[in-house]
Amino acid sequence: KESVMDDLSEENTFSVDEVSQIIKEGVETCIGTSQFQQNKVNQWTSSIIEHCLNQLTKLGKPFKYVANCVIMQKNGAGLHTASSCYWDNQTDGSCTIKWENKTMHVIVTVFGLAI
Amino acid sequence: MADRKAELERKKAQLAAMREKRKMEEKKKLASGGDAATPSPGEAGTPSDLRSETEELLKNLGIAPETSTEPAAGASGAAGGPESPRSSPKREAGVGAKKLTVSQVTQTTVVAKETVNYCKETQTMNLEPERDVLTYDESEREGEGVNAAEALAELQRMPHVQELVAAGAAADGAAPVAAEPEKPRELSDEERQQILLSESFVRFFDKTARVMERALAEDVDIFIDYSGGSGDTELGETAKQQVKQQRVFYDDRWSRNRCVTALDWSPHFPELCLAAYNANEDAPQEPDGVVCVWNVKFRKDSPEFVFHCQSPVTSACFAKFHRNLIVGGTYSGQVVLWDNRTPRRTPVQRSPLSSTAHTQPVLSVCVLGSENAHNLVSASSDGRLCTWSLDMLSQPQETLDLQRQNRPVPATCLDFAPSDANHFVVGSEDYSMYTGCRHGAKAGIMDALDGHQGPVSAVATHRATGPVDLGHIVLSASFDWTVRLWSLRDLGTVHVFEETSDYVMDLCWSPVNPALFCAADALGRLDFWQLNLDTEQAAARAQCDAAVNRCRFSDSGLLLGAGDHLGRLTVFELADSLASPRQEEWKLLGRTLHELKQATAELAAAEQDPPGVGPIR
Repeated sequence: KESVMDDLSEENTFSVDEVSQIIKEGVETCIGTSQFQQNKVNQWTSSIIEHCLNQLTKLGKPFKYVANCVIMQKNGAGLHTASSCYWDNQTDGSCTIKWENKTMHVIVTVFGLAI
Repeated sequence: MADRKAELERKKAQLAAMREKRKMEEKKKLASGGDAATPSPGEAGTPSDLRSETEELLKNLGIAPETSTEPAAGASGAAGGPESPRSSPKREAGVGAKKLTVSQVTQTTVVAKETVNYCKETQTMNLEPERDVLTYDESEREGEGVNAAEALAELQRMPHVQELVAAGAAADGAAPVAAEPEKPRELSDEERQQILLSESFVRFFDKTARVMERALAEDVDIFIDYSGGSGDTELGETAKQQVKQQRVFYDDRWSRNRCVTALDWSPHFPELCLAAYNANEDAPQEPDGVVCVWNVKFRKDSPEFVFHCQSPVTSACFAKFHRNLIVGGTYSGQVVLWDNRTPRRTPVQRSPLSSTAHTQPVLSVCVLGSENAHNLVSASSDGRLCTWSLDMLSQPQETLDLQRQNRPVPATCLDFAPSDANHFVVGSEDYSMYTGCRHGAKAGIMDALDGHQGPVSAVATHRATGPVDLGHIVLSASFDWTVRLWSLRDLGTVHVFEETSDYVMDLCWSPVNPALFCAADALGRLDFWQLNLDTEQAAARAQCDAAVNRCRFSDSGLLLGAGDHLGRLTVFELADSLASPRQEEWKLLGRTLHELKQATAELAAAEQDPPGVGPIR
């Protein structure tokens, strides 16, 4: 029998700091110092997402995760994305990390929804 | 991965075995008739029973049992593996209804980089096509496309010509082309522009345009009959008017909104006069300083020459010994030289803007000396006098700082005695006039003449040359509404002319009549004083519409030019009786001056000790 109080314990809320740390690590591990290459972008996005989800599930929290990764070449173009969710503000959360180097922008968003 | 798979298999096998066992036990139970079935080992508690029952049911239905004992963490990696193990255990316990709300919008922006776009093109020069080359493009058939029949006809035509001329010419393909009478070729636009901008054309056009303007502006009556007698009455009327306005010189582009700052008549061509203008505030793109040379002889309305420079011109003069040069002094302290032999409108020579030359507006430029040994002298408003050679304006030959009591003189006007390149008179803003000399042991300011109660705006040394030397007579005009006549011999005022009712802006002695001078004031009034006729009242008066800034007699003494602050140059003609000196003019003037001096001395004495009252001074 699970009690309702579980919702408010640390285990069951989305921890933005932890997740952002995981994402940053993920991006750095997968891309690191590479410059933008059209043939490798696929690989990079998949590996970033893999890494993130792996680490997130290792946390062992009762959450559903949705990970989204965008890699954009720095060409002078502008980009704007936005997202919103209908969820339980107490337990669910999302985290967006923007990372860039000289040739590309990387934007990774992870949504965590408590089960 | 492999051992997990193996593990899974093992577990499945185990489960299957357990189920088998259970089934058999169930059967046994059923068979044995309702003994309390012992819960199968390995499962504890009621929920497991429930589970097995459901599994049983499900199995019967054909749905494979779930492997529910997988550890949560290990199975959730969704990376590339073909089998996707089911995820974390179901949370069966239904938690209370959650409150769902819309979260805040998370936005991410990558800013676009703004790039600067510019277009750069180069174009090669269009060369004129060679005349010998036959090009079908240049005929009138342009735009129709190549018409085979016509081209053929042309081709066939050419040999036709060839046959005619070929009697003398050997089989030469190119020559017959030239033999055919050339149709006048239409010039293309670029060719036209080239010709129009070439230097020889510009020069030719300039000269002939001037000639044509004069011819068109002339208004001569070719039907005049000298034997007739109807024109006498007109002459009589005009004779009464002593000063008559002859012309107004005004150019819409160059004189509009500009104040006339300097006037000079040419010593070589008596009909030419120059007017210097300062800046037009309404037209900032136009050059700030303009000098126009006007011609009185012809009726045309445009200036003969227009020169300009970057800084407003504050003084200008014709170079006395060079008939083509015009010297100007500007507001920035530069002395510039224009030459009317070149088509250039900008100065051909400029003095540097350095502290060795002038740094303040140049208020007077003049050429002094004789034909073979002359210098340009310029004075600026900080009391600096520079001597230049006309050939080299890059550096002054001499500089002299005018100082009085160790302070620089704030000069407003300067004039040299007519035949003396050494002595000069300078008027200043501190209400007094100074005499000075350029060379010698005591170069600089010598004496001061006080008396005015306002800044001195103009000084004029006596110009007319005659039997008596009147070089010591100096006139000064000031903003205190008076004109004073001084004698440099005894450094005192000879007379004060107090008839004006506004700032007196400029003064000029007549070069022929020793007793005549003109004073111009800010109301536009020009007063002509004839000292031998009347010293209390002006002999003649003329009126301009705007405040007159400069006035100058022409070298003949018959014309007076007056420049006003709206850019108009009005030329007045003086009646002969006023302008030309009578025979005894000089003698009379000497007497007049003596009388005036006496009168002034008496007045001064009377002021000093009036009967019964102490001294005023």
